[in-house]
Amino acid sequence: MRATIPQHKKPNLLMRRALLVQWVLVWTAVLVAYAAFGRATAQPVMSGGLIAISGSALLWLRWWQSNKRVQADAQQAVRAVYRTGLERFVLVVLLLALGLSYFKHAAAALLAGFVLGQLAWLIGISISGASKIKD
Amino acid sequence: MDMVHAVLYIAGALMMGLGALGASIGIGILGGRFLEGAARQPELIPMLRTQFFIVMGLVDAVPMIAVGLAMYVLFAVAG
Repeated sequence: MRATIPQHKKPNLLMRRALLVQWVLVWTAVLVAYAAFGRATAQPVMSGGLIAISGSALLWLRWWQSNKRVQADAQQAVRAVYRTGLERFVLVVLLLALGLSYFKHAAAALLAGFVLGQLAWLIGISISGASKIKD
Repeated sequence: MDMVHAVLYIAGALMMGLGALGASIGIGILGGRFLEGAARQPELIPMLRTQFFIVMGLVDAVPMIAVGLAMYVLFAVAG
């Protein structure tokens, strides 16, 4: 008999699975960068990946908070999503600027890590099956 | 500032601006459809909200990459 997941837990599972896929792909890229180019390249790749992960984690956190707070108010949900989009944008731009200017990371490696992290998030969502959520 | 640097700064600004424009159009359409769905079937709001958040993450991901590339142009190539 197949184990069934309660309907209300499915979205949370999807988000967590997507984050896990992103986490695994980013660390794989860091290991590959370390093996191929050494520590000087692996460090900025890791920073870039962590910036992408922090953006996704913020999205997950805001979704979780909005699920706890609002039950059936569409306007509040729209406001929460738009605010989250803005917060993610500001967070990512600030962290990238910090990595490039303060930590003086190699720009190409940092941004390669970041782009890979974003792609990993897209892959994570696709693998986890966003279209399968029914409730 | 020479011409090459000026063009690079404009390129970075265009990348960020067009990325933001695309994301804002996408999320605007998404929000409109969400409100339509919520008005038709208010009992589905929790499910629609979750879908809204997930698709917003998807729509946002590609312009974020554009922002990353723009930062590369601004900090590494032009700077």
